[in-house]
Amino acid sequence: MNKRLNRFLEAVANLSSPTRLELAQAGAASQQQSAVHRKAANFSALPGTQVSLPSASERTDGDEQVGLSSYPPVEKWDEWEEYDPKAWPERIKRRYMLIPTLCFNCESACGLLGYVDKDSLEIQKFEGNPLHPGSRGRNCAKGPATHNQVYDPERVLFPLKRVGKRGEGKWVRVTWDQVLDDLGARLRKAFQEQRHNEVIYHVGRPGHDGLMEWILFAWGLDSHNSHTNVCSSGARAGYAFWMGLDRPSPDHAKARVILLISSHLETGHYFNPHAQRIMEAKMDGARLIVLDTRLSNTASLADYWLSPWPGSEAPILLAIVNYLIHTGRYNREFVKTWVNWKQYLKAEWPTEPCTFETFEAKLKELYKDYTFDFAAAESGVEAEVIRQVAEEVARCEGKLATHTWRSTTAGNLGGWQVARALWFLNVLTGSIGVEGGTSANAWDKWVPRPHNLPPHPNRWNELTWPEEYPLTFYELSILLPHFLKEGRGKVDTYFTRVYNPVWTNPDGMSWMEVLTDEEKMGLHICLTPTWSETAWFADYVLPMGHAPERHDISSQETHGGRWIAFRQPVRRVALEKLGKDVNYTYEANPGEVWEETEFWIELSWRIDPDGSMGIRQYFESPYQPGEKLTVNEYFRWMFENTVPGLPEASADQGLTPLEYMRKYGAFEIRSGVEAPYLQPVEAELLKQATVDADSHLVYSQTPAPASPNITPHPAFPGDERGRLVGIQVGDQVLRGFDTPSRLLEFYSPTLRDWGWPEYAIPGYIHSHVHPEKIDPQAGEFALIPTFRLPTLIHTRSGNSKWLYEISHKNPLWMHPKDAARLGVRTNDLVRVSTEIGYYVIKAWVTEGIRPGVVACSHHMGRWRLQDNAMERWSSALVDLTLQGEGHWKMRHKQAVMPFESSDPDSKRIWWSDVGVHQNLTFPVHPDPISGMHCWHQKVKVEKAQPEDRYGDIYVDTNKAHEVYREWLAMTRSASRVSPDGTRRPYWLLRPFRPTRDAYQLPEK
Amino acid sequence: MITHALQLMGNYWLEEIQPEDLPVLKQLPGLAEALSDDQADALTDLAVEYQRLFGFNLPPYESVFIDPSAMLNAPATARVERLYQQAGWAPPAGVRYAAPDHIGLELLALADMLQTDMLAAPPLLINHLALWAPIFLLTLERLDPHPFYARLAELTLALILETLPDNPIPSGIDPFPSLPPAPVYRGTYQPAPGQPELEVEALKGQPIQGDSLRQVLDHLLIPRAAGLYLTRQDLAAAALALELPGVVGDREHTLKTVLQLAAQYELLSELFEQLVNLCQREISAYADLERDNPAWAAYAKAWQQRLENTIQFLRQLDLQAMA
Repeated sequence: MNKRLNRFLEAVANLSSPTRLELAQAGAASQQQSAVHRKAANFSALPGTQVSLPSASERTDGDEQVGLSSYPPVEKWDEWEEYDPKAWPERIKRRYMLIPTLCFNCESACGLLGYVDKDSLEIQKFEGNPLHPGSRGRNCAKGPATHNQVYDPERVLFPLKRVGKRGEGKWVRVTWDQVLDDLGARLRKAFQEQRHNEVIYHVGRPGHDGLMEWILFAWGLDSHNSHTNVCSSGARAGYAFWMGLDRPSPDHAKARVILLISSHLETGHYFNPHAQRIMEAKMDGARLIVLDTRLSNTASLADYWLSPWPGSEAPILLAIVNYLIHTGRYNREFVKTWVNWKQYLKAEWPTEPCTFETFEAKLKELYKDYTFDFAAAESGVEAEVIRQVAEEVARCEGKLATHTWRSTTAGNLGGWQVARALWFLNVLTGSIGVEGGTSANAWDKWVPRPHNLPPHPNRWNELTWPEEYPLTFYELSILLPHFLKEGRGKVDTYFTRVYNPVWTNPDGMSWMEVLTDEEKMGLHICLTPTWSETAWFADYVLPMGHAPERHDISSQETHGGRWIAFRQPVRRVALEKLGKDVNYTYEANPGEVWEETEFWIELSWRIDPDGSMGIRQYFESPYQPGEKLTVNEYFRWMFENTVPGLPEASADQGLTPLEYMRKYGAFEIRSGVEAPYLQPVEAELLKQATVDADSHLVYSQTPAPASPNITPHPAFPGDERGRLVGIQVGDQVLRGFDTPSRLLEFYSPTLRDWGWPEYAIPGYIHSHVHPEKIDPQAGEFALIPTFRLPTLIHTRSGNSKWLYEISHKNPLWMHPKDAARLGVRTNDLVRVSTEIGYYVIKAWVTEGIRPGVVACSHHMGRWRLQDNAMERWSSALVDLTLQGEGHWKMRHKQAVMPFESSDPDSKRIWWSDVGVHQNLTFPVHPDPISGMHCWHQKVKVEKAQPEDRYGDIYVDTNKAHEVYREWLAMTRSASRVSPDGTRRPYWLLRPFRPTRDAYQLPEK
Repeated sequence: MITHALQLMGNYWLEEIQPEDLPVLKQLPGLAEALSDDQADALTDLAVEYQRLFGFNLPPYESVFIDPSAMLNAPATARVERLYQQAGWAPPAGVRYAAPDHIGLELLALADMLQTDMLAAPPLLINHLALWAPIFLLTLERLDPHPFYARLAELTLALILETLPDNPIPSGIDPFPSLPPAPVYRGTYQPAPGQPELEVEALKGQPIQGDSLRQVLDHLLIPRAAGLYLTRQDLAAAALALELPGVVGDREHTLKTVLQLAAQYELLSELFEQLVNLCQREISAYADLERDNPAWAAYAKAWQQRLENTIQFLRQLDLQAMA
């Protein structure tokens, strides 16, 4: 035997200490847990945060345990030491304070820990916050890349004011005082002259909950404009017509079957929290079904990947519906109790017996034509595969987690019916509000009421809520340039905030035309953490903080549970912990980067310095009457008064609620799924209640108490009988769903009464890119321009060198058969022509896309007009020329190049290409019902022409306006279809809801 | 005694060394000398080395060496799982691993099976561990590991071969199991988005005519085909010897880039020669192991044959490059 081995074996035989295995077997390893038998630790010391941490969390700084620790223990967050990674292998210790905050890249609001160096107060890095109930310490690439955004040498550090013409690129630095004085005076004048509707606030990524309701209501404005109709209007409408609430909250982790019409293992909302739970479910045996035309990373991990023709998802889903109905494999009791089938029968079949059996017979009849063969013919997916998927859904045991958000619902005319068809599966399987099923977002979200919420404004803004779209979800933000061109109004003061419509929206050249027209757009203020194409056309560029530079509260429906989390300016918090006073956050941030909460408070005092306009009162301290509210007081009051359980949890730790949130960054309000529709109506409300004999609806005369949770809900002020508060089910009065019937509305009287009776039940609307509208022989394709990349987030990640190093191109995906037909190879230039122009891009030939369809990620193609302006990591220098009225031509002048800056990495840039900006060439396509911009395009693809160069873009804004008019003609205006003389069904969700009087249509 | 030793080794391979391991380790000749006196430093160094070796460079999983895909959780893994199931064996609760054919787990399983006299022990040793673990452990040597892991590898190799019965594989039988071919993920070869069309194009008209780059990569990067596990360090060393620019990336990216750079600087023949030399060194290493452990002869032959094929393959590529 090998001598060494022999000696070794002898020593093993004579060991005098217990081995790791023996320690574990003896159960004596609570302090020294074995690698083999280690179990997850639990932060049970934190009331309300039942967060199980990965095993390595118990390891400390190297004295007791070693190895690659996952998370520093919370008790050491104020005094954390670790070696300087850049000094390795020298062991040089650095001292940090670990301050929790929230990522500000996508909407998920995942927890971050900022490592603030105690000596230099610089932020060393960001890692995950293990106490955050949504992200549980895990982050995607964008979380740690926040560090790049903070230290980006190209960022805007001081308030800038435009000189010269708008868009000319000449800026002077101004003080915050100058900005506030100028804006305060301008807004005061507008409000005094009752020109409230000329002030518009347009937001891309809010990042906060509840803030702008407080600000805009205080100013008396109905001026909120969001990015929703380039994002989620389609899905929202589909969900809301069913259940009143407009967003799903799947409990992926406990599901038996997960059906995604999205790519949530890699991108989208809420990718990181969802992905980790989808994987948990998969490891627990759940089946994953993915509908995605493109072979996404998510599709590659699915048990079933279905690649349908874009817009054909509804017939697939309805074929599954048909299968469940015809095989009788649906939750009969749930459907009988919670679907408004009586309403349907009485309205559509008044002469037939109003029994559930009649309804079942009608259901069979209604959906009998949605066969697997029909779905296969529409979608191109094999009928047998659809049948197998239907069988999987049938076996879900009431645990079906489903999700769609952008994807097809945002791509297609009638996409909202896809969400409606998807939710139908949850209804039939009874997978609603149960463990492993899908809930409504509002059930899992908590937006605390601030101390002084102003009343709803008595105004209606036609520029954002035009009467042509009475059912839209929500503002028709993409149409603003066309409304202004048509003379529907003017904008005196336009705030854009973390929003880049010139780049992000379709038809960006029309935006540019309007933004440069000072007659139409009086003053443009861009509140932004980074340069953008839109900021270039502003009058003021006001630097606002990234994730570790601002306060916000955020609560997202990431899983079966409910939590609230706190974004904090980590350097400010660190300074305060060190005993230094900080009056305003910009004192602690780089340059004079500020945060919106303080900015709005200050601006409100400048608008109404003496309180005579009734605005200032909302911005006074609840603790020191008459004094200006501070940012600490704003959050302190909510944490003390309107977050259930937080004061008690804080007291248990000897902390104030604000101290608790500063320390841990998050609080779990509820763990597990909750179904409010099953909750009994409070006895107090039933004291003066009336039950409708026919509908079993329950009305109460008892006034509604102010809810501490101001998450938007549908509204039911009721009639002379009082408020609608619930529905009688058997001998109980339950809250029911947030719909006029308090039931799940399979049959939507709202759609029927507001001009769309043909779509009152879940169905299928042919997309504007349906195959019958595409001629492949003419080189026509359906273009999917919406998909995201895991490492980028719209235009906000342009200031992250790590992320751009990973992803910086957006080639056109094309199937090999199509490529062969066109004679195109990978990297060949192709010209993609839309209804209003074209772009020139490189092809990527791949079997990851179905024939007849091309796809291009929207994340790329940033551009800048001057060499030394904007993010040079991520933008090409371009020539933009006007070649006759409305005829715009853009050509790349210079690719990305290494450049000198305070960051030595800028000299190491090795990539040159940054992709092509396709959105400029898309006209607006607002769905006539949901208002969703239907992103997919019918395009013509051909080999590039001799004069074409990579990145070329041509757009005709005259044609863009014509296309707008064509889609506008598809609408059914409130003034024509409104059943009660109002602009919109009052019950329907509407953010920033005005008073009921404001809903009245103007008399013509 | 042997089962106890297998358990210890299984644990040491499975995860970083923990503080509770130190009292035992200090009593084990061969391993004790490899630890520095400062306990905290020693453990930190070992944890860093563990990640470098097994996190970044050398996956300690059977399927990487045996499966035609060289991927984790491949059919070769299922074969190991089936063996565990048939023996009624399961990994201990709480163990972290990416796939059940981790060398640490296979050693723990072997220990348990030997202890309880399970029928599965000989198949696990003969059809699995003896086939791939020696190649894994010899590859580790090329990564210039920390002395602790170098000693652990020597001892583990010795213990596996010591436990191997005489003539485990009948003469003339290839010990490699029959497994499904690697799935074709990429279809017709195309450069990934963002990559210039340099690979095939750059090599065409230069050295590799008639062979797609995919075939080259598949042969050289799949141990079952190549006869060795080509590490990133092997490739870096080859590039360094030719004074080519440094390359950072995964194995596939590194090999592609080194090939491209060698073509660009007209050093392809020299690069192939470097790889041939590496194969020849491994043939010698397998022969040395066979000499000291005759029971391993059939395995040595199987791996050596693959290395000979690789040498032939490289010489053909070289001829094409010269043409």
